[in-house]
Order: sequence, then structure tokens, then C-alpha cells
Amino acid sequence: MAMSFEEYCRDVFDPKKIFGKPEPLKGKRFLSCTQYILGPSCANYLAELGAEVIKIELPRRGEPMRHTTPFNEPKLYPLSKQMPEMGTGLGFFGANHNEYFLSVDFHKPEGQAIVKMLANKSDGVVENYRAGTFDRWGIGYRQLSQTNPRIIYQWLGGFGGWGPGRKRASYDILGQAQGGCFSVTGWPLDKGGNPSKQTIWIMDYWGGMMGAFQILACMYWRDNVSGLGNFMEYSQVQGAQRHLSDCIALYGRHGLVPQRWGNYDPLVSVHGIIKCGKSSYPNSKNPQELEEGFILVSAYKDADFAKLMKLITRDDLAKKYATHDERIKAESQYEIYPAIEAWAKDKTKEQARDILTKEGINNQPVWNSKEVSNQEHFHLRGELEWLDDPTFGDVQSQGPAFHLSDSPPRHKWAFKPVGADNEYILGKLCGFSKTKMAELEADAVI
Amino acid sequence: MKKLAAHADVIIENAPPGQWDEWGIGYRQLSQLNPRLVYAWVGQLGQWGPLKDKPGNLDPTAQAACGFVHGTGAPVAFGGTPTRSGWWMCDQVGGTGAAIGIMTALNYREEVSGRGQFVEATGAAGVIRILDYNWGWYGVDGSIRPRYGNWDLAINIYAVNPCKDGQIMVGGGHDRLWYRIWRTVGKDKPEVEQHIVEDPALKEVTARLPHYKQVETYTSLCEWMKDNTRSEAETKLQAEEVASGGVSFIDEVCEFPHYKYRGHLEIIDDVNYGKVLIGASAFLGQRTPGRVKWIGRPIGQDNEDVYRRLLGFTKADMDNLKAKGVI
Amino acid sequence: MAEVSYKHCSLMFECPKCSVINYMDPFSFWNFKGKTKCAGCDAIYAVEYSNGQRVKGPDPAQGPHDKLPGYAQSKDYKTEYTMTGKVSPPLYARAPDQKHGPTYSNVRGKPVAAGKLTAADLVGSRARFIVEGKPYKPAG
Repeated sequence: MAMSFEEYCRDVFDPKKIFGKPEPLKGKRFLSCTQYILGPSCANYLAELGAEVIKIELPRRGEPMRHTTPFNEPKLYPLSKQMPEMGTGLGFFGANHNEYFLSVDFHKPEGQAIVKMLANKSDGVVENYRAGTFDRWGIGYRQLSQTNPRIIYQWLGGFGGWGPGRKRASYDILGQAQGGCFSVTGWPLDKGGNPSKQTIWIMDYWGGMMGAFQILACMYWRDNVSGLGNFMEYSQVQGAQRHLSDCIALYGRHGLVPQRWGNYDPLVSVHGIIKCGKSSYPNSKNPQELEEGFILVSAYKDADFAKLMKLITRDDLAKKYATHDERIKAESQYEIYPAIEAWAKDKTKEQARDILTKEGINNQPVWNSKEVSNQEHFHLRGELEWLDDPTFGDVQSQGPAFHLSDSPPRHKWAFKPVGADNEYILGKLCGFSKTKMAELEADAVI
Repeated sequence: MKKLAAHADVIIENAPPGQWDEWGIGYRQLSQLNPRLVYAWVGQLGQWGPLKDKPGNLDPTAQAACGFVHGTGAPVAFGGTPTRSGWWMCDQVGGTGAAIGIMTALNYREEVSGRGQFVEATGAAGVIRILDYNWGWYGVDGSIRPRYGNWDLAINIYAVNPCKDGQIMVGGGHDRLWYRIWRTVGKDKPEVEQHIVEDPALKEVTARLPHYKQVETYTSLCEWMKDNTRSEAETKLQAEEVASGGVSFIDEVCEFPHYKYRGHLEIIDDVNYGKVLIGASAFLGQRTPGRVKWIGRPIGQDNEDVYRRLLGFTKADMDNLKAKGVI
Repeated sequence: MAEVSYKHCSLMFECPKCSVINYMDPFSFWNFKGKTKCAGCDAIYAVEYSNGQRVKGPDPAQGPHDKLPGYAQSKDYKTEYTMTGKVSPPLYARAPDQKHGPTYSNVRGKPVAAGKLTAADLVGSRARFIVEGKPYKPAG
């Protein structure tokens, strides 16, 4: 074959060619009646695939996530055309790409009528208000499916819409905490560690992905099998249990409660993250860069492990722990990893990487967000991109989570101000006149 | 493989980059045999590009490479280090990304093109996608997102802190919940409630985000929580409808009544392994619920069925291939 | 208003000398045995914390201290004690001397709408300088 496999992949997945290819969900319409991350991200994944996603927020101030940003610092302006002096916090960043922004007050009957009108013309609704709220307002699945039986209604939340805990509110870290994720993350007590949060709302974003998958699967079934919509629910804490199934099986079979094992690995050894003694940027003024480096070292096969031990001049350990069964024991790991750290004490993570790579030992330096942002690899593949956003200018954004050769997902804009698409959506789908819209705006319905 | 590919809707593989192509059974070759085939490759950093995967790469390679590990764990001031997730988080997220990609390709095949396509998903791409404001923040002013332990850079109160018998999450990012939380604290410690609600620097939601304000908030909250167990604190906070919940260990998760009632956990009576407690499918739907039928099978258990039914192998064919170590 | 006392509190540690409240943040002091320094008057105290409870101290002691409080302020919310050498350093995402402010050009030097605007700066709900693709100049 003329083209190498690498060239072939680069050709079919090239992010520069994405806008010359069709969108897989073109012509599908979803309403996103969502806030924070769990619901919004779910709808966002559909918007990346080309669905017309209409995000409905409360008028003027928008949803609460617009008002969250690290240390209250970075924001993009304006929040809405009425509030140019206020900005949207970057917490809103990852969950609202490509959407159309409509402002509607759900609490008002006129607002509920608009939602109904839109839902009748949509393939689905993504919603994450407290379970039962939309049903009470007359815009839940029971009511919407009367007029649109093909509607796919995805509710996402914490503890689910039924069961003794159904009334409990939930957030990402509550899902992590009560789902069991904290209990297995972080250093064990004897190493001075606590149960630890995983950064950045992961149960929300990952939960949104699960929801999006469920919607796509249901759409396949609707369009190819039944012609019927569906009422679906995704519980964030349940997602954690689905995740931790191996820990749960261990408890179920043996009564063992998996604990934290820090940056080592309970199942594979050597396969852990160790500290290098030196910072890669000793002259930086940013404390983040003055921190010592860390690197993942992976040498779990016997031959690789022997090679690694030879490299750090600890052949004695190679002999002592010649088999994986020996290496994987807790005591062994407590001896092996400090020995590797002793070797790395006078090195930066790059120096350690170069030596390990030369010896053919798998490794990966722990990169911070600046180092990741500057990797050619991620920009070349479109996993990070400088987005020429029509509203906010030159912003760096994450790309889609996966690549498709023929009908790829894509990002067109990061997000828009509150109500930016009111005229477009209400004119196109509800047939409202300009006068009618002005009235609704004056009454704070939109 | 070539014969099987003719019968398959989807192939998922995670061999080292280019391995299957070299063997003549990659997407390029198999899609010639079956144009409707959706072929997915999954990995850590990719099958192409300067950092493409090396043989033997496993999670947490992607976790370390995408900024997740640097951002997880306590800050240096609290004695923390970069920390990996306790489970294979990039594998799970990357795998979910692949599943969405595959489902999309199937929908597109049925509705539009009649053809399959090549799908690639990696743990790094999945987690970069969900690392929210890391990239936007760096892009705006060069900031590097720091670790913040069990606290949150963007919301206060929204954290896990220690209490009498472990740790507990308390959340309330806006005023309504903020005052409810301090009202709850004030029932036991009125002086702490008074100190916080009268602090002029804590009046605005956004003013509560700088680091020292978070130290003030959470130290004060812990002044109350140190005298309360997870269950006591949870009960008191939930009386005020505040989102809260103790950090649960796996045994507590497995015995939690709400989860049991809803079937988050199920005992599956597996044909090979007997009764096994597992996390059930998280896909709940009125008409299309997800389900677990078995949890995995011994290698080759379905050989006979697949080879006879799809490829028409005879017993002699199979014996022959078995003897050669092919199947 | 009668002066409230926090002397009975553990993690909110009121200095017996100067009455400044030192916030012994839970992740540093939950279990701690050693010496700390009051941010208000630099007095050194030996303290012992167990499971968040102060079980010993504060006993006057000699320096140096082992750990600084996470934050400190007076009972009437004066915060001048919160500075280097008095309390633990805060977190930085950037160099400490790089203050965050409104920015209209990003890390690559290209226009970005990351600062306050006025109604006159807008075209519809978009920033005029972004629409025009020019560096930011305030309207009027």
C-alpha cells in the first residue's frame, strides 16, 4: 500500500478536513433544559455531532454555571446583551459548545407553552431539574409524549427519580463521595493521604456521556425498530457503581473493602507515578512550575522490570521480586517505588523520561495544563483547538472526545450570551413576530 | 478475522497502533470486504501523531498526559502531590467516548450513508474533553490550573471535608443554600454562624472564591463538623434540604438502602462464576433498559457457536485450527 | 454587641494574647502535634489536634514554628495578618506578581473578550472588536 498507516490515519482523521464532511446528527433537534454540568454536557455531545440543540435558560442571568469560575477570575463577556459589564465564568466552558441559546422562564405559563411548542418539533429533551419538577409543570415526559410520541426524554440527576433517597439533591462531588469514588482515590492513611476528589466534575461530564450514549442507542431503536420515543433516567451515583463494579464484586465475593493505593496500582506492578526530585522550570515565577516533577513508570513484565532495576542499579530487587506475583504485594511495592524515587531524586521529569525511553521502558511525565496545551500531538489531532469563536474571539478549547473518519464531531463556537438566539429560534419554530417577542421580553418570559 | 468481519456491524480493537493494518486486517482492508463495518480503535494517546501509543501503554498513561493527574490531589500547602484516580478513569471515559462514536456511526450508516466508518477514541481525548476550563483558562492568560484537594476553585461551599468519623460532602454554591448551611451550623454553634454571616467579605457569592475565603469558610464549617459524624451531619443538613453526603466506602455503598432498592447493585447468578455482586447497568429506560446477562466468559466458550454459525466450520476444521493454536 | 469568644473552639483558634482568630485549616491541622505561630502577634504555641479537636494547648512555646495557620483575621474582620510569613501561602495559577485583570488579548496576543464591556461596545450580543477582528479600544 502506498500510504503508511500513520499517514492514512492522519488523512482520514485530519481535523482540518472536518468541516468538509457531513454532520452525523444533522436534522435532529434536542431541547436542553439543563443547568450545571451533568445535563448540559449530555446535550452538548449531541450538539457536537450536528444536532440542533436549543439550550433553554432563565432570562438575563442565565443558568448558575455561568457564574462559576476559578477564584472568580476569568470570564468571557458579555453575559447577555442586557448585561455587557457582566461575564460568563469559564466553568461554563466545556458543556455548551455549538448550542443555540434561548431564554425562557419555565415558571410562567407562557414559558411552559413555548417549551411545549418546541418539544413537539424536537427529537428529544434533556433535562436535569429535580425529579418530577417538569411533570408538575405539565412539560414532563407524560405530557410531551401525548403530542409527540417519538420524543426521547432523558432525565439526569443524582439519586434518581424514585426510591427512598429520590428527593436528595446531588452534585458531581456528592456522586463521587456517595458513589464510592473518593474512597479509592488518594494516598492511604499511613502515607498521610485522605479520600480524594477527582478533579473537575468528572461524574457530571462522564455521566453526561453516558446519557448521550443512551440517547443515541434509543434513537437507533426508535428509527430502525419501534418508531417510539422513550423515558430514560441516568443517576449519577448509579454511574459510580457501574464504574466501580470490580471493587463491588470483590466486596460481594470476599467481603474485602478496596482502599486507596495512592499513585501505585493495586493490580499491576511496576506501574505507578513517582516523584522526580527536580522541577523542570527552576527559573519560573509560577509556583505551579516550581513544583517537582512526577512521572509514570511502567515496567510490569518480568523482562522490563529487570531492565528497570538494572537501570537504577538495584539488581537485588530484580532478583527478590522476579515474578509479578511477588512484585504486586503491598510490601514489595512499598520497597520498589521508593527505590525508583531515589534514582529519580536528582532528575527532572524530562531527564527521567529520556533515560527511561532510551532503555525502552514505558513512561509518561505528569503534565500540567500548560504543558498539555503546548503538545503538538493534541493540537494536531484536534483534541485541543484554538477556536475562532464568533462572540468571544480567540479561545483555546477542548476538541471532541473521539474521532470519526466520515462524519466527525466538531466545535463551531464555545457558547453564546444568554438569549442570543431568541429571535432565530422563536421566529423559526414558534412563528413569533417581533412585537410578540418584545412583549415577552418586557414581561421577562424570555 | 476477514470472514468474521463480513458478518460484523462493529469491530473494536486496542492493539498497538498499526498492528492490525500490518496483519492485513485493519480498517483499510476489512472495510473493502464489508463496507458497512464500523471499526473502532481505542487507546491511551492515539494511533497516530508524535505521541502515539507504545505497546504496553495502560491507564494511567493518559491520566498523566492530559493534565488530570496534575490537577488531582491536595495542593502543596496541604502536603499533597499530583494524584491518579483510584480506578482506570481514562479507560472508562475514553471507552464511553468510543461507545458514543460507534453508536453515532451506526445511526449515520442506517439513516444516511449505508456505510460504516473508522472510529478512534483515546483516554486522553476523552478526559481533555471533560477537563472543563483548564484549556480556556490557559488560553486567556496563561494560568495553569492548580490542584485544590477536596475543595473547588470555582464554587464555595462545594467540598468534601473531614468530620468526626470520616469525610463528608457539603454543597451550596448560591445564597439560598449558603444561609441554610450556616443556619444548620448555628443550631449547634450560634457563634460560628454569626461570625460567618456577619463577615462583610462573604456577602457576595463571587467574593467567597479566593483561597483565603475558602480557608475561612471550611475551617468554620469543620468547627461544627468535627463534633458530628457523617450521619449526624447529613441528617441535620438534609433537614434544611442542603445537598450533603458522607464519603462512603465500598461496603457502605454496597449496603446503602437506596441503591439496593433501585437495583444499582445486583447479584447476578452467572452461568460460569456463580453468584457475583456487581454494579448494574446504569442505563434506565422505560422501553429500552440496559441489562447485564453475563459478566464475561472463559476464553473461547462461544467458539463452536460462532465458527459453525457464521463461518460454517466443521468439527474437523476446528480441531485442526485448535491443534495449530489458532483458535 | 457583646464580644463573642472563640476560646472554646478548636480549629478557629483565638489567640489568648491578641484575640486574633487563626484558622487552622482542616487538611493541615486535623491531626497535628507541634508548634504554630499566631498571625496576629507572632506568639508561638504548642498545640495538639486529634480528629479536629484541640486536645492540648495552646501552651506558650519558643520558635521556630512547624506550621502556619491557613488564614487569620480579627474578630471585626480585619485581615492585615494575612500575608507571607504569617499564614500559609495561597494557591497560584500564575506568577504571584501577575495580577488577573480584564484582558482583551489572550496568551497568544490575539483579541479575546475577557474584560468588561459597555452597551456601546456591542453589536447585538457580540463584542464589536471581535466582530471587527481588531484589538480592543473602548467605545467613545
